[in-house]
Amino acid sequence: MQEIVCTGCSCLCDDVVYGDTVYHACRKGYRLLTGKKEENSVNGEKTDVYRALKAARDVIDGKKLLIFGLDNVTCEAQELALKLAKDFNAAIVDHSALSGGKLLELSERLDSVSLEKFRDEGYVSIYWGANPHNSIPRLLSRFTYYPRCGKRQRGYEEDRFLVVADVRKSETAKLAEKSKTGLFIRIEKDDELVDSFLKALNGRAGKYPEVARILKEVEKAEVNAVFGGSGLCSGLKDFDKFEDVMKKSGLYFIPATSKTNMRGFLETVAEVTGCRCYGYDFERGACLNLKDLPEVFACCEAVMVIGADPLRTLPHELSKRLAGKVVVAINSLKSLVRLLKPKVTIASTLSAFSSGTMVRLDGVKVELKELKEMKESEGKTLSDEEVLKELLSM
Amino acid sequence: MPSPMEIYKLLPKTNCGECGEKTCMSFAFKIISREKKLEECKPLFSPKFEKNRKKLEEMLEIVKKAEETGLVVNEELCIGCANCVVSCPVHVEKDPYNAAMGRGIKMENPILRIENGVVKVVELNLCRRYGKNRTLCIVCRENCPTDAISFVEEM
Ligand code: SF4
Ligand code: SF4
Ligand code: SF4
Repeated sequence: MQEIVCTGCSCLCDDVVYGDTVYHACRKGYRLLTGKKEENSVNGEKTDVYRALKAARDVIDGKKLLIFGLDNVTCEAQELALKLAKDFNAAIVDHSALSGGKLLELSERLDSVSLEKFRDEGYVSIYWGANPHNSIPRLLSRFTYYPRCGKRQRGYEEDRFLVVADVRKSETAKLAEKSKTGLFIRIEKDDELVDSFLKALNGRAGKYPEVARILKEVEKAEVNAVFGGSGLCSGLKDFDKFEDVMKKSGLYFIPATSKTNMRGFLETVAEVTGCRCYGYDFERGACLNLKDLPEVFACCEAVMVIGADPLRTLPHELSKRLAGKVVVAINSLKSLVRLLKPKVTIASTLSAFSSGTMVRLDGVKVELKELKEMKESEGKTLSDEEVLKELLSM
Repeated sequence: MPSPMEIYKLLPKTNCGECGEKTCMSFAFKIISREKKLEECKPLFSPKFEKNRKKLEEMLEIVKKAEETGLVVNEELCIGCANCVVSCPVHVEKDPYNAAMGRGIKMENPILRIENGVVKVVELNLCRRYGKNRTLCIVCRENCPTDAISFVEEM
């Protein structure tokens, strides 16, 4: 048995004990840790990793390449993938343009706070368009609502105030509604809630009168935060006004993006290219945004999928463009990628069992803990980082 | 679950001491923790308090039932979020640097623990709903987002 870091979502729980029984990981994490492992293959035939690597290199040589995925691999592997993209004049993207990137961008402009500080001192947490129940299942129990420590010794019943603002009554909203110290605001338009905040800050009432109560609660402590989710990102029209609310109310902003190491990818892209963007096309020397994706997906000849399941996570509008492309998949677990009939599949070690670094949703770097003793079923595989190193050195 | 104050309001409030407690309020508390029974309050059984007594008996029906209750987890509904593990007052007291702080529980034989992605009942004897000083604790159930926890009397 060994303690590892679960890479099931951006919470990166570092207390998971892995052995014949897996302790403390949520269902989502457990599914990842015990998922069916991928196998090396070329043209659908099982092979060893070195033949697969050689075939992969042959596939990508001389082709217009798109590298896609990367949200589930370490920063070190992301850096090598960017190097590969640069060497091959390829385009490289993750999921951030589709969802989550905007939240991470916002968090860079707004005051933020680490999850540990929020755990020790946080009082009001506002889940805005976020339902961590599905996406980051342990967020409330590990950091934001239930822990008793630091200045919050009396626990959630007396010491924390939970607000959920959402278009539907999510599971997290149900908890807020049930709680004596919480409330659920069913919103229709995110901008109307922003407006209510601005009005309440000026002593006036807006569409949502509950906001006045929230601001009163906010005054009771120094650390209060909005956890912005995909609902906020897709619903909000006027981001400037939202930023205005955040600054005037003194609330911290924490992006509740669930993709494990999306934050790491965006930081690595920024470091390598000098641009704050959601992906990069090295051939054109240009940043990639949401509007560029259909063309990028359509124009490439070969696709290298790294740590992703595009048929499951991409909208059909994009995933349909992968049909007929030559695909190289570097994945740890079996996935729907098989439906794309990849020319080469390279089985890599699950990031949770590898060494390396990932960036948690709040921007804190987390060191992964390499699994010392692989079970028989885990087999001997190279990490994503090692696979990419090999490909680069060929 | 009635609160001690709700019980107290229906008691004679004379602090006569016949029940062995100094005040009616402390008697109300002991009713909730099941250390005392309504029958020990003699004045309550006089005609003057008949209405109150009936109300109290109705209120306490749920407390009586709980004597045979057990905590049941529907693993199919559980997502392993650990809200129940971290919020349980027994865990908070006995594992202050792990479970209470949101980390994986380290105390040996806790009441609940997340194993293979779902909550498992490990040592039910520690639950506050059991034993001499039992209370009708519902903390874990109230904080379960999927209604995976229930108590036998509700099923
Ligand atoms: S919350 Fe996320 S990181 Fe934590 S155990 Fe669950 S899936 Fe893994
Ligand atoms: S009923 Fe109370 S004491 Fe028993 S397991 Fe649930 S929270 Fe803990
Ligand atoms: S709170 Fe409910 S869903 Fe969460 S671990 Fe406990 S039983 Fe499972």
